[in-house]
Amino acid sequence: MNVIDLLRPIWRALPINIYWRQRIKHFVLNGPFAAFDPKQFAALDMPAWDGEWRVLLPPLDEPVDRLLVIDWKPPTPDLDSGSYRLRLILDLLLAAGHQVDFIGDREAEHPRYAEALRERGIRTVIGPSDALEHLGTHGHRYAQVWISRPEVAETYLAPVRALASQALVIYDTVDLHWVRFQRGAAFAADPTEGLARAERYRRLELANARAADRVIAITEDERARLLQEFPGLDVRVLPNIHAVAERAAGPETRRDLFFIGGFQHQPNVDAMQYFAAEILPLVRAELPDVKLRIVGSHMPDSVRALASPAIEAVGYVADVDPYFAQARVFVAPLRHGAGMKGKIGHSLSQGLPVVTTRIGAEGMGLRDGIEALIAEGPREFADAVIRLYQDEALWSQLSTAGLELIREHYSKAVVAGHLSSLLVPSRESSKAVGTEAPSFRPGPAASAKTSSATLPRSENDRRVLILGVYLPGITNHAATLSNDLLSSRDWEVDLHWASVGTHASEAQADSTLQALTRLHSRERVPKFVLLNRLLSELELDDYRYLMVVDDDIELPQGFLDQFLAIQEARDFTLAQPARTHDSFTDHHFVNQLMGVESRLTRFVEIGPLMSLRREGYQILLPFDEDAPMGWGLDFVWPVILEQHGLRLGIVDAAPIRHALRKPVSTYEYTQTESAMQAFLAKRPHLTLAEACIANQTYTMGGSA
Amino acid sequence: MNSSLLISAVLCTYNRASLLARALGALSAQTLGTEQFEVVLIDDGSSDETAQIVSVFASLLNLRYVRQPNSGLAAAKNHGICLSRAPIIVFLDDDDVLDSRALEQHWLSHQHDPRIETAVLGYTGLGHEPSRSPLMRYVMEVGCQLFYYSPLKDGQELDFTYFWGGRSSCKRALLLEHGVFDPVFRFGAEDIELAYRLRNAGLRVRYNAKAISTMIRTLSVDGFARRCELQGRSNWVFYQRHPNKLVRAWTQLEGAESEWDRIAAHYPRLLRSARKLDQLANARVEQGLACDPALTQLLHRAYAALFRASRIKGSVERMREDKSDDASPPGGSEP
Repeated sequence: MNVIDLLRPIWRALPINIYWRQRIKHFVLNGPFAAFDPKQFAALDMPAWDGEWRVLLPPLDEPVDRLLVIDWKPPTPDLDSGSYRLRLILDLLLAAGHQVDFIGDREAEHPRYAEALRERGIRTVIGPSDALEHLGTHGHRYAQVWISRPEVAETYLAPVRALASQALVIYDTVDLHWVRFQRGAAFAADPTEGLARAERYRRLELANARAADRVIAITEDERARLLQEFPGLDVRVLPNIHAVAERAAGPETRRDLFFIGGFQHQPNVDAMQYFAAEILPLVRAELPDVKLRIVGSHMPDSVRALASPAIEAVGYVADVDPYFAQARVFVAPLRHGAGMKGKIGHSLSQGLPVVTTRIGAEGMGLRDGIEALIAEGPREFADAVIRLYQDEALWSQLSTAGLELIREHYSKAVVAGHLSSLLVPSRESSKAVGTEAPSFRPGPAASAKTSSATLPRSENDRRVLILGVYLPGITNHAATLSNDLLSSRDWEVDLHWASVGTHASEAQADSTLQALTRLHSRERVPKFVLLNRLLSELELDDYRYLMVVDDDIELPQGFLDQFLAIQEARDFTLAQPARTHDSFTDHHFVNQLMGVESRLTRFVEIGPLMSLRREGYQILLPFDEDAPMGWGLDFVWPVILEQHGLRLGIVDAAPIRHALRKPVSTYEYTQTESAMQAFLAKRPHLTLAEACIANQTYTMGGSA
Repeated sequence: MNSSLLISAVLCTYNRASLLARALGALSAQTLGTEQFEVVLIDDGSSDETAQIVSVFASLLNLRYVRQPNSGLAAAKNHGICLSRAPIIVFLDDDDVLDSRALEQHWLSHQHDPRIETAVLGYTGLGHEPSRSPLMRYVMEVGCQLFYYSPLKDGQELDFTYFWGGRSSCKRALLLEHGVFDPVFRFGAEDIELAYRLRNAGLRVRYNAKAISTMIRTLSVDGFARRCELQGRSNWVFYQRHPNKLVRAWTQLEGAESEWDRIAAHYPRLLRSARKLDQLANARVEQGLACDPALTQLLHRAYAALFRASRIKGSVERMREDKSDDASPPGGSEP
């Protein structure tokens, strides 16, 4: 743990607010410490990244058209069949017009192998640190990246994904190592260790396959094996590639047995020891002059030690063609291994017939007695070798069929077709990959703003009395409100205003409003005293509803019809509309609930708009003038209404906006507050907490 | 008011029936008796089998279940507040599972500090499955885009920026007297915007590390990027509602517009890079393989860049929508 790690919790625990936190961070990073490595400041909550975009924003104007191949080393085609295959793949890519770069995790056995790539026009980078630097500067140019082998993919997948973000990543298994190791475990000195290794590789290879965009298997069998683990993988088959001889010399000029293989590959070592010890003696019992020639790179002492009058352990040779041309039978007594055996394909491509095992034959579609002889066990294997050696007709038939098989399935031309089908075409590859937006759950349409409930016009009893008080001397909405309320389709509205303070005729007042103003008081008389005066002159029982409005509210379109339809449908004796959230609020409880049509409550505010149905008149009217400005009535009325079994509620689907004046801006708060407490003390009432509970909500869309 | 009720658990859900079953299961196993708390479950317009799941728990809990048309998180929470009956409200998420003592711990904290303006923040850890996710570990423990618990001490007093939705409780009266959620916020910032207003009432948040819940959902890179974008959008609205330097700092809007202009064209690449590194890290976790420091560093850098870019994207896009729509007042609210 360094100093920075110690500082981190202290910094996070400092009792300063976020504004100062950001100021300090900015100062530290841009001020005297700007010269330090920004990574050191991870303590200031910027882990893994210093917030500097420069490193993450490669130029966008350069084409995304190159192809990168990554393998453990530059291919050494004369040393191992995997390299031979990769070299041919590189040739095919160049021939198809791709601009190819190559990263080798390490040097090959000799610098000439990297040189050979550069001579072909392949930009070649060797070693992990140069590779990372190269990806940092050129990663954005890659439309596709081909990564061979599990260990190489493990190292390079992350930097490729980070630095070549557009690339299609192809993971080439070469062969399924875990299958090979599993089979080899039985022949190893320590089978448990072998199985553990196989399991490690299984996990690694499956993780690589899951992390890549596309996976290359070398045979159909191995493709099926991968799909069995993860059916969703995009696995394509790309077999070994062989240059096919036009024709082969006949058996009469040929002699002896032949094997070729890279000996860093353990199954080849086993195969030769097994053949020398258990099969060759049986063959020589019948054919005493027959010898075995063993060729291959990295030949270990254990194989060299097999040298005898019957066995020639040659080792590495640069030109193997003469060996194929002179041998009579190719033997591949493989007891384990995986994938597709390059040596067998190589032999068939030269017209040299093969005797092998089932494991040796797998993945190539070889049929016993047609393209090759397939035998298990020393006796059977030796008999097959002897038979093929002696039967010239069988020899010629296998030679021809082998050449044909390779030509049809594993020749350059055929595999080139497979290869091009699994790559992004070289011409169109400059198009960017991955322009998709993040996927997310589509939300349903926003909350409905209005309920569809309306009242049938059939009833006769549809008169509404609306009483309002306004202050002509200050800005108010009384004129607009009048228009809105009088435009009801469903109700016959009688609207009466009282004005307070400046006389309407002295202020610049709307003529309609003046006509509706039935009462004026120059003196600041409490609202409910005025309302009682208005009421005393009216025959209230003619009206189904009495509505009281203030002059500083704004109504949604069609308010009255919608509001009363809901009050009617929910059987609320007393109701109020909810307030929009941008309103000034006395009680947050009455703020509009979105998605809710209305709620059965124990609280309806006395103003700025309330609505009382006829059965409530006797119980609640006239207004109790002891309540200052009506304050406190809201806590007394629910008790009275509930005693009579009547319902009260808030209508959310028709909310009003109350944003013109702050409440209590026109009268003295403290006085009114203490008067309210005195009023409440004498009457049964609810507390705020008791009142502000919805017994039931009725949501939009009908569920109750 | 039912005097035996100690606490109302407001739980909002949307199309997460299977997670909800686990959340309700945990509520059924609280140390508080079922008569001591109620569950107010607001279904914000689910179209899955939420209702069937709820019916299973109806007999096990004091449960009030209401379905509303999809209206967003703030609206759903307000609906829950409105229906709650107990003096304490704890806000829960449908992807969190409570420890059996969690409700009792929330209640004890309020007993200990009965002042109306004291709220309580509980602790949230990662469940078994999310804790295996490199992304979830990053957003919880490294980038702290989701939560930010590592510097907190049990019992510590915190400011309004810690009134985190889905794991905090407060007195019902605080909300009734000083404010509820603003439904303009369909996702993100609704909790801190309310807390910002409650600040005027003296809001303080007390951390109770023993009030434990466990996050059981594993988010995807795309899901989290989208979440950051929505958060960014809400941040802009929050600042429009309260244009001052404190909110500007919290919403991280400083320089957002010029930063977005610089990175907008790169956004698809940032997204793909983070997705693919996440896919790699998950593939390794799935196979029981470790993520080495090199991978972890690249992964975290990609996450950090994508989530920052997504947040900025949301803020700037929302800001430009507002500017191109002259008719709408700041914050886009309508009466």
